[in-house]
Amino acid sequence: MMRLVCLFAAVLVLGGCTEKLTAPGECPGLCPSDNLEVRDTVITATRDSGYVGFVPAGGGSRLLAANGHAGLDLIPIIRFARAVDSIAIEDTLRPAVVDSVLLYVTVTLRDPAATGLALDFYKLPAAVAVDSGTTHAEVAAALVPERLIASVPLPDTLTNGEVRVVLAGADLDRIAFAPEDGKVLRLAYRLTGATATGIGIASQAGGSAAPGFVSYMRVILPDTTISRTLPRIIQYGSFVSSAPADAPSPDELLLGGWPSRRAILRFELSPMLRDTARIIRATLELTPSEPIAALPGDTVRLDVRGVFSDLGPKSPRIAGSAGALIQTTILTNGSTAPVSIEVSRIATLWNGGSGVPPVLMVTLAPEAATFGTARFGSSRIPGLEPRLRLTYAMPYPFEVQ
Amino acid sequence: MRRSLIVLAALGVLAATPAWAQSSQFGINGLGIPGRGLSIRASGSGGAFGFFDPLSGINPASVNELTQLTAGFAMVGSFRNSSNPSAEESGRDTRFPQFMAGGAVPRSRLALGAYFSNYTDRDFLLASSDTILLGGLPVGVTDTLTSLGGLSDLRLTMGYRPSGWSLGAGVHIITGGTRVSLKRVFDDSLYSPVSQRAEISYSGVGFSAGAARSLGRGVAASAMIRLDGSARIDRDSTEVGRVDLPVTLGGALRWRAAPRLDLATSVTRRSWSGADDDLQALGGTGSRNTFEWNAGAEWLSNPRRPSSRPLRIGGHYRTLPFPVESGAQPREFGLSLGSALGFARDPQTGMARAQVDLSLSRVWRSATGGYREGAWLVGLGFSVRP
Repeated sequence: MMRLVCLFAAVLVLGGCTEKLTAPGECPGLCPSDNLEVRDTVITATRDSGYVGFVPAGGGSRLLAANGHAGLDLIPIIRFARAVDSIAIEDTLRPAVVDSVLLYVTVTLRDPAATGLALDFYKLPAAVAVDSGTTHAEVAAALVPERLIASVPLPDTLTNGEVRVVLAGADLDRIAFAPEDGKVLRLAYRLTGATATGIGIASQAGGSAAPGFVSYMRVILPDTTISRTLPRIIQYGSFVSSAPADAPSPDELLLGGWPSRRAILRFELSPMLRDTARIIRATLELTPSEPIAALPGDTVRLDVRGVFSDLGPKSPRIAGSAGALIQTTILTNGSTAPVSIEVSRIATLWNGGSGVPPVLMVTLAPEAATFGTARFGSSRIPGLEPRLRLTYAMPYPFEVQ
Repeated sequence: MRRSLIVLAALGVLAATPAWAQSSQFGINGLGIPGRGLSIRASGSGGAFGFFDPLSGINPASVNELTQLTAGFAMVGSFRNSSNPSAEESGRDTRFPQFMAGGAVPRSRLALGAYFSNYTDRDFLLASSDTILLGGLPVGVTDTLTSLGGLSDLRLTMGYRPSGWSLGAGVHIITGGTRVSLKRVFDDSLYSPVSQRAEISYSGVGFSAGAARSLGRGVAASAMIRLDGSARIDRDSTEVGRVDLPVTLGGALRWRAAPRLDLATSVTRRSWSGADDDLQALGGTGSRNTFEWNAGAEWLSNPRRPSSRPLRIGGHYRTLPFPVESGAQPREFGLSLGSALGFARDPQTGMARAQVDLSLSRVWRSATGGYREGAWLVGLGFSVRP
């Protein structure tokens, strides 16, 4: 009998350790779907604002060069750190001889259909400071044949790669420093070609792909010769434009350009949507007021983020871990179709007591590093205003079945 | 004796898990599936002896059967198979539906008892899939509705034994709650999963009274009435409604047909239809009055030692109060078998001071519309008289 008791106890205890409560649901008697109410709605932005000046020209991942694309002449300019003419060897500073110099840039953006292009390397005079006050007129006036270091043809197949200029021997005279240069090399890169187009070269943010200036030097000692390679860091890099950035009309949201432009879209959620319902899907719809403009071959992304609080242009944006809260879609050059982008992950933050406002900040990426611009209708244009398509679930009536 | 107490203590640790009865697809609607308030000893004979059993929480007069301090504890394992027109699913769980402690007051005709038993059970996990229209397009969804908990019945009982009668009265505190959660996953990953949860709590007060009397020739009769008033329903501490609880009327007969053989039968009616309007107002399927009939027998291998391997057999039929679909009242039929084993016998009286009761029941539940369920219930009960 005791064995039987033990058997019963074992069955109960072991059975309980692997509890399985599942029962099959069946509609309409045992059907949770009947009671969970899911609704759709569309709300429009109540207010929006456009701001400029977030990322300046040269502050992005590319420096832009153009020879008439969109009617613009864009010239990248670089100022390198002061060059040296002596090298410390065994605690003694010894004069060095420049054997050769390497100048290079890395092309990261190019219209594959544009052929017959070349990139001219110019040495700028000291009179052009190459800083944030440098203008296109100053630079353009300095690009005279006497200051041309080299004109490098861009292979028609080159869409991403390095363009090099190697100077040695008598060619070194082309970058010889005048006394007023202070041994500071200032370069400008002008795109030339039969067709109006543009390219992008990696900026100083591009690490080893950034424009380079490398001197190969030699120190002659009584019994030996020591060679050194001396790259110079970039102290300033940017590009200058022949025309100022477009000003948006009051009824449109202009994104892109340099300095970059962003827009803030503000929505009003009803107390029911904010406090009671649970947003399960949110889709932002923007309608272009003009076709999307971009360089063929350029990938222009529309980035949408939430903000922790609405402080206008200085609203702190929500980044999220691993970019999970940055919603992105690719814009198609020339398209006038409404752009839809899923912002569900951001919108779920608007529920409950998080305090996150129903505000979205939109921008074109990479900022200040693309030829793309987008103009969308604002909340002031009926029919073109930004819209948010929301799907939400109401609270489940748990108290009954 | 010592060995029995050690076993009891070990199982007491296991009892830290929620103390509710078995899960069932018929416990999803309304307030759940009602518990029967039976000890393992009574359930082994189909519940027929429940009105006379001091370990069961049915008739407050039965506490007078406790001649000394007694503590009882029950655990039930359920192995079931549920089916409905959509699917078939098997499940298992272990619950602890009954605790009690009580005994006679020395040098008086009084007895006192405290009982904690399952009132209704809403312990389930319901999985279903469906297709709904969102933005004008069909989207597949999979829902999982989970509920853990139910209503519990805490009863304080006082019994009095005047000449020839056994009387009892009890105060019931109806309490408990369910932790419920719903998860919905959409086939289209653009929709975020829905996850909602809430805590539903219940509270109410009831009263019961009962009587039992020997009618001679080995026949005894028992009757009880219970008034449960209404239960307040709170959702996350906010009152969302009230539900009338039933008035219970029941009676039982017991006949010692032979020195070794006891027979018993009982009937119980509960007026659950009083909750019909309340539940429908909350969006539920309402409720119906219920009827329960039990019949069983106990054969003693040794009349002087009733806990020594008796054979118990019985059956029951009852209707369940909460329809799965409106108007279709579920019903339950069960057959039971049980026995017991005594330990630590008193050398003078030969009575066991610790007892283990076993029961094995097969239960069939059904409701029109194709809802069926079959379950094996394995019961293990312990009682100690220190």
